Amino acid sequence: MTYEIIKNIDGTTTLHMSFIDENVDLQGEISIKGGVEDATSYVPFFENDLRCNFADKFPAPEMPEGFEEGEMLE
Amino acid sequence: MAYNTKAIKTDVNAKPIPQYYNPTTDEYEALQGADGAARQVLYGPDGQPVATTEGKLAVRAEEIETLLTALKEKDFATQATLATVLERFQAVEAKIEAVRVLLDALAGEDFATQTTLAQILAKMIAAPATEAKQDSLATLVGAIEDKLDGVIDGTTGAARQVLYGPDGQPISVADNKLAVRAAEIEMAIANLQTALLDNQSTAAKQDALAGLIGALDAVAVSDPTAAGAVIALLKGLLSRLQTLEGKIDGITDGTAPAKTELTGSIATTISSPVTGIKTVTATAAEVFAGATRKANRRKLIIRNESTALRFRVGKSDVTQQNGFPVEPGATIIFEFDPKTAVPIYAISEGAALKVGVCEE
Repeated sequence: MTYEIIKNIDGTTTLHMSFIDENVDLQGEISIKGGVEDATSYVPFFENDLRCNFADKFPAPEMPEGFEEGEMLE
Repeated sequence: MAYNTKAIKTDVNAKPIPQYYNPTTDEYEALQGADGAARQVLYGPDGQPVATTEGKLAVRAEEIETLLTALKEKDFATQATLATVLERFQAVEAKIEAVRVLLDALAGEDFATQTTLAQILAKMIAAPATEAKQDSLATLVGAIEDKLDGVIDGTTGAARQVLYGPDGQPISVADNKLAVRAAEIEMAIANLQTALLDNQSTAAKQDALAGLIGALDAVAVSDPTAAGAVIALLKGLLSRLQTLEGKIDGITDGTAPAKTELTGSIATTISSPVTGIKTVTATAAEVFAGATRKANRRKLIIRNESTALRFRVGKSDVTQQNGFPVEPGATIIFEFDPKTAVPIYAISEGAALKVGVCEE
């Protein structure tokens, strides 16, 4: 994941996020109140939301070896 | 003899005294004087002594006195008299100016010449209006006046008159009647008569008209493509109006509600909604369902999925104090004009929380 923060003149910051580097065709953009520091603090939340909302775009996680269906991981 | 041949006068001490040589007496004579000064004799440029009269220098005294006497006898004008004279001169000057103006005006007039006036006078003298002539004229005028009075009051009958037109020709008559454009009037009446006779209401025309209008008992024709008499078509139209009236009554009283589909309303979902979750933190951030704000969105629905925390929504300057609060489990809906992009920001009042978002 890569992101870019652009500070706007109206007191907001635009956070542009891309998952191209993960071979996922997904880009997001969100406006955040405050400066670069505020936007930076929001990066992990925005990334998590995108990964959750567009989970179908990301490769499914591999099952641990020896794990069978119905068995709980410890 | 000469003065140098005579001895000068001396005093008792044999000293010479003030003296002068008198050629007349051919003797030196003692100088006479008075008031401490010696006598002097004035001489004129001609070498002769200046004359005196009555003990005064004869400085043309006579002529001067004559002139002074003459001047004294003169009646000189005083300053007041001169002022009066000047004032009168000015008045005279003003009158002269007025006369000059009048003369200029007169110079511009076209006066009758002496010759013209003489001709007029000669004519008046040749044929003067005598009293007898004036009496004859008055008699004639009186007679004319009497005749005019008779014509006016009808006592002597009207005089014959001949009417003339603007072209100077007598107005013509026909059958002892004035030819008041009789030909044109007769032509117009003839044309009117012809028109009335040609377009009069005949039985055949009335039958055709009756067929076109139809009868009251004619069957209603409600098919707009079918032919029919006017009454039949009107009855068909009336029937349709009554049917329409019944349907409107059914809609208004609810017995036969109309099935209506509205288009173009913001209440209609015209595109697939976008849904998702969003994490709301203590940093105000825009809220949308997808990766970016949905273009031309009409509605934004946000549900607080936290069971304990609430968040606030507003514009980009929203804070934990001024935003509109959304209680735990509550839902807030925003409706937009699709043509106007309006970002909505959310901020948590505490820890980060999840919200469900739907954009239409």
